[in-house]
Amino acid sequence: MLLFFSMNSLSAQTFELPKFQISLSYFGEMMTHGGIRLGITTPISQTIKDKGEEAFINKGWLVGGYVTYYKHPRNHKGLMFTGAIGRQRIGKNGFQTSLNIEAGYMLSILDGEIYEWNSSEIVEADSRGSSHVVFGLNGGLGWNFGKKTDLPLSFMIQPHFYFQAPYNTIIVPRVALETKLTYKLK
Amino acid sequence: MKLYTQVFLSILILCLTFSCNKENMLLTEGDMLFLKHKGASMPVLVRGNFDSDVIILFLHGGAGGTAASHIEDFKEMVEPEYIVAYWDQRHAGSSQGNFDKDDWTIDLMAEDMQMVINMLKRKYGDDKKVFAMGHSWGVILGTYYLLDQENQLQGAIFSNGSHSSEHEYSARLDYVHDFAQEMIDNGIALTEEIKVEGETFTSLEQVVIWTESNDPIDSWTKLKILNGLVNAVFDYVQETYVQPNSDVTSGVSSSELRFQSPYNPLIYRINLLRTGQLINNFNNETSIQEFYDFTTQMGDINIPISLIWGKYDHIVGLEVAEDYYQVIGTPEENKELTILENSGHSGMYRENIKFSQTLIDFVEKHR
Repeated sequence: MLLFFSMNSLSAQTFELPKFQISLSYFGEMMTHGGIRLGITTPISQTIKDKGEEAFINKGWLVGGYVTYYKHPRNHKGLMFTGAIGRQRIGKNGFQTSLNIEAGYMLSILDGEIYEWNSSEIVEADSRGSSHVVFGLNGGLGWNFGKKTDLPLSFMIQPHFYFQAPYNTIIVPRVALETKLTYKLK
Repeated sequence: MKLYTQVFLSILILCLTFSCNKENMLLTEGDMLFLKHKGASMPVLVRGNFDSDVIILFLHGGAGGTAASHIEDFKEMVEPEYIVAYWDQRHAGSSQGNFDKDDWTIDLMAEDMQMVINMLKRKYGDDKKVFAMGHSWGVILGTYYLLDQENQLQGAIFSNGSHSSEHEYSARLDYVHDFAQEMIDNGIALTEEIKVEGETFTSLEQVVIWTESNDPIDSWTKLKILNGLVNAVFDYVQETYVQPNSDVTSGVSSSELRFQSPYNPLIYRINLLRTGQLINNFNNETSIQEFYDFTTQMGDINIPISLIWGKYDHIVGLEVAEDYYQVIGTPEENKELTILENSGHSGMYRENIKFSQTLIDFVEKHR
């Protein structure tokens, strides 16, 4: 793997945010309730600041769409379809930061045997789940390997803070940690 | 930063992230059932000896507490004997769902309890004998169930909860008065002044005078002051009379409960906060567990009852247990009161061995 990286260790001279990036993430609600997240992003605007000697700082606004699934064992399974808009900055050495707002739909499915009263007796019920709105913020830190090499990858750690509504008479906050690999499409 | 370092750190972070996601016995042992009822989706973690014909249904405190923190109280001695059902009540613990807050009454929660019993019998067999094990608010709920619903319980074990606010506050008033006087007699002074409801207390003598001139507690203002004055003596009582450590030798760690269990500490805190706002609110002077009295109806309760009480409880004192014992209609031979001499509000944790053995002896006698 290191050999692979070293072979691609070429200086990228005209780095731009790609038209599309796809991402694959570990998504851990409360960090340990594991899941997976797929996403696609595209820049809607970007600026490149020339710092001289082939060093550039990229800043841009990105929009994206995500599908997220996680499982809190014996509690619930969450499936989310969300859209996000956010600001991303890639420093001259490839250090990357981002801040996004995200909102969408969540299907929450109880993870266990479900029973309910059918007006005459207790019966087993199906687990069709309940619908919710989710909205929140997430921010990330990481590296864009494509800044210094030809490798079309970036890596980010991205904490999420979001709300789920309706939930128990109002809303409930949730936290999650995303570990994201992003691939730059040609 | 060198590229190799970046790659190494990225891989390390990925490995650490995945290594956090491990399973433990709370995720593998027993059954996780959910009762969906009138908007709420309430989890019931069922553990223990599934060959037993006895189910212990735990009624947690609060309102707004959780059964999760009591798993360690029953894991060592009670679970090997019986099935134990840890129910998180509506809008408490890890309960999910959504419902109209105006529908949230003790009647609805007693109905929930009936549904949970129905569910347990449906799952494990109609012939199972269900005993309620209520703590604190769980005693209020369990008592109300016995008065309000068609009883399906074989018996009940109640610990440091109440049936009458008059007795509850009277016992709390005595707790503050008696131990404040004891501290004065021992030459101990108030360590810091207490300010509550516009009144300032700078000495234990003032505390004693207040308790003597405000009996009975019959208003929200008096109740808030009394609750504030508990702080004047609480540390002294704990250090002098309550055993510092629990008998529990193999507990459930808080990190297990937080990150590797069916429970979610963030949701629990939000549920607790919201329960405090909606049905247990001292500031708004609205609470379903303040200024209530079931005494006049309790002669109708005739199932076996075991009261297991921490003697030095600052919330629900021993006087409440003594009155509970007297007013229920249960025949003398089917009711008992056991005092935990070295415990406060949570005797099942402090004196776990004595508590568990008393529970087991009671269930064996009445199963």
